[in-house]
Amino acid sequence: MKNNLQQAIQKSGADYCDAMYEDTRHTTISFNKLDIQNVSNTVLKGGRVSALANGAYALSSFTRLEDLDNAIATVSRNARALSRFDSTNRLMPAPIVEDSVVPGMTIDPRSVDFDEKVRLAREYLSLVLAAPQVFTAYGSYNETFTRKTFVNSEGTRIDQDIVICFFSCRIMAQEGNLTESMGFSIGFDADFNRLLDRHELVEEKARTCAGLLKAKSVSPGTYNIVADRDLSGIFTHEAFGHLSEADDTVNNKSLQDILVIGKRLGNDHLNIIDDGSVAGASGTYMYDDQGVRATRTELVKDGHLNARLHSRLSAAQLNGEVTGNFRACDYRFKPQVRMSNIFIDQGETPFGELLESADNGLYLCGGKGGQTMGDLFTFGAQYGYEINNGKLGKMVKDINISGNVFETLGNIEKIGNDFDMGEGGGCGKSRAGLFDMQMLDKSGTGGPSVLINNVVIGGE
Amino acid sequence: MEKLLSLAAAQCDEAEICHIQTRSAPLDFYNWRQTEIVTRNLDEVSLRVIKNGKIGVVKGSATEDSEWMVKSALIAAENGPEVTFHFPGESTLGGGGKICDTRLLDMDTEQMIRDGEDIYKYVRERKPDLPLNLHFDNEVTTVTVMNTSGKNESYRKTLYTVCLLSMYQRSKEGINKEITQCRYFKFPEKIIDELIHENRLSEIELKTPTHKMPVLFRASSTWSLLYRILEGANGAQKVRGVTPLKDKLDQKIFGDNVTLIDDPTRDWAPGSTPFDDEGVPTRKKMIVENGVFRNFIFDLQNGAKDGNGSTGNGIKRSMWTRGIEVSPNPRFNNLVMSPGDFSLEDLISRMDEGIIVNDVIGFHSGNILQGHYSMNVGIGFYVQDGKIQGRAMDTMIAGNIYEDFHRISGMSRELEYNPIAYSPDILIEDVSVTGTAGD
Repeated sequence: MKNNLQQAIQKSGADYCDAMYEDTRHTTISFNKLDIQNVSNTVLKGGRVSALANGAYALSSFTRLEDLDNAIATVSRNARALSRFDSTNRLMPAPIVEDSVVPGMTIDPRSVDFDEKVRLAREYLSLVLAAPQVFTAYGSYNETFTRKTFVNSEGTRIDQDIVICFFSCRIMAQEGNLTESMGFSIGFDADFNRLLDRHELVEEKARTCAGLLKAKSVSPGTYNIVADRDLSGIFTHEAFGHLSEADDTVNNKSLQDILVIGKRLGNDHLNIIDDGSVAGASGTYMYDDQGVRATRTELVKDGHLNARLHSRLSAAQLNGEVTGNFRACDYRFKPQVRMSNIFIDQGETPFGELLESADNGLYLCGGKGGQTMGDLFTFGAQYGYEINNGKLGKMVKDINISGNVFETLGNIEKIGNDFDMGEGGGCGKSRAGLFDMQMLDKSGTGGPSVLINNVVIGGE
Repeated sequence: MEKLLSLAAAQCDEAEICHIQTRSAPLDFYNWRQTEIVTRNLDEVSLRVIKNGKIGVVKGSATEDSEWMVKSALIAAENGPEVTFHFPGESTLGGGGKICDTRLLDMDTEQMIRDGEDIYKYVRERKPDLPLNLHFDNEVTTVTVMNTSGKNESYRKTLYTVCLLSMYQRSKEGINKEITQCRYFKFPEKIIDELIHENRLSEIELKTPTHKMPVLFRASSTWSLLYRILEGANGAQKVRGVTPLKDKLDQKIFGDNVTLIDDPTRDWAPGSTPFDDEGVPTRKKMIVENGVFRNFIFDLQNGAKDGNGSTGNGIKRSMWTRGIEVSPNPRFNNLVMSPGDFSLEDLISRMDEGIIVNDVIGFHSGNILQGHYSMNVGIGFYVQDGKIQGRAMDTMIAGNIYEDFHRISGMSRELEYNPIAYSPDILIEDVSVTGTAGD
């Protein structure tokens, strides 16, 4: 494949050309309670090429390999046509790489029997269904295997194997007319071993979902909150991370102005990292869709903006460093600057002290969707507890958090010492809280618990 | 594809192929300066087989080896759910709206670049400092459904999208004006004027109070509310027993002025199709008639479980992804909400104090099935004494459509298409608003 692609791009006539071809096999075994509802197999084979000519940039996606030459001719032609309007694109130099990547695994999911996967999923689902008030649950075991080949006209040649397996579940609890639901995922790593012996976590999720039936809706207002590790990760991803993605900043002078490198964003203890090389995390990968190796980027250092996430294109425009974050979820999409694993770095405060410092406030857990609009963000917490005089109280629900990212970062008062990378993650993942998880990208979040003062909580 | 069907047919009781070929060329202009084009040439197929009363699916790139496809579908069927339906042989009797514009079939990239330059020229003469992104897409889709009951039909659909996004200061987002139709059009100057006007109005940023007040949902934002009805009227949720509408057929669920029709026959409408992705002919049907709930929507499998069959709403693609989804899901084809008799200006002037919502963020918050919503006003305006005062900042709105749709006090005469429906602007009284200006 490498040689096919390489021969094809030599004919491009453009200033730069790259080509990628991937073969992805995805299997989902989905369950309605304990019954197998579907076994679905998906194969996605196709490629993408891109070219730079006269400072303009064009891409093309194709399913049929025989369309490769045509796609290369099209991108070269389109780039020239666009250069009448835009000739500003350059590529930041990146190392030329020749590599073959195979993920490390103690148990390769492809070596595990179908029956064993079914047995494991049923074991977890029976635990969920045994919880009081849980009336139904949907679950699925998912695995994806991708072989991806990338070459560019500078001489980079990379083969990558990518393996992901995970179990995800949506729990439905009911009492009278009231239905509550909650989802969770385990895994998102290559290693099947990660899915084993997770019974405690599964039971806890089912209990929490049933607990929501009795929880009262939070009253809207301004609170000091302690965000748990999941929520702190989602806040970092949604509110701050998306603003770090430099492809959107390139053409937006006012965004550049509010995100000047060196600007103070938080207290000295605040460090925010994007790291695509964390072992075993869900957003980990070796090379991005321009063949650039994933790296650790210190986005916020000692409270100051230190860097942005870049493609080779955006790095050239903004004179930043290449960070290896240019990714698409498959060949049909164009790559964009995306986070890998983003998190607030470990702090020093024990969890109990975070609660004490909050005094009267809310302890909020788990994220539920999220969206940003410039410096505004909004997302839900799955559930929470009142904090009364530094102690955890009654459970609350229907929690929606919104605010301005800069004010909120500045209000991070204390950072916990309980750092952990979360499982699951992904960006633009689940459609509307229903049971149809759409993993659009490998993207991980995590972090420590954090105390944030004066957060606006909306509700009914 | 005929070969794949006969290979499958030889090894199972029934088989169906849904074949979707898409050619598209999305072109983006980023803020007057940068451009990017992606041409796509995709070819996807899904194969479903029924064997011993159980169904199995495989989907993927149409280039995949037929033997592998059939083998995978058979493994899926061995473990698949039991079904009682048969693939429909019923042919589509003409009908349907117009969905293919020959002008779009051979339109080249140059035309879109020129149209983009024209829009920039128009804006430059009026507000040269407006931060503005443009998005064009010209998509041609050919859908073929064939099955062992004798169905073998295709349709070709063109879809043309033009989207203008003027970003706010310090933001990647801003006011969005988008039109999608099955025919070619020039983006209306009237809507560009509205965009420039709203951008000017946004220069004043206002904190909003916290109490109940009228909220005017512009057509561009009503999909966030109507999404809750899509889930409520979704036959799959009825079969699961989780929709609050499960016992509400022919009962009043909304105020008299709410009528919603699913109309796949509407000319040039993005969701119009002669048949759905399972080959079932689509048809026009009432969903809510003067506030009374009339119909759930079904695909074959959920329709069979419920007892009355598919309503022609089995869609194998979702709102958020490209390509074929594995299992069909009940979705509206073209939901059309009946208009009111006001102009936009009339609706605004009726508000002593209120919020106009152009766009929301966080539409997925709250218990969707129960009709609850709790969203941030992403793009919106604060109104006092019937006049827009400025942009509404940090404002949340919350409520429940099964209550709020009893309090619609006015709707606009004109309909606009949003991702879910043709909708008017909707004015709802007494919506809970949470702002940061105090009570």
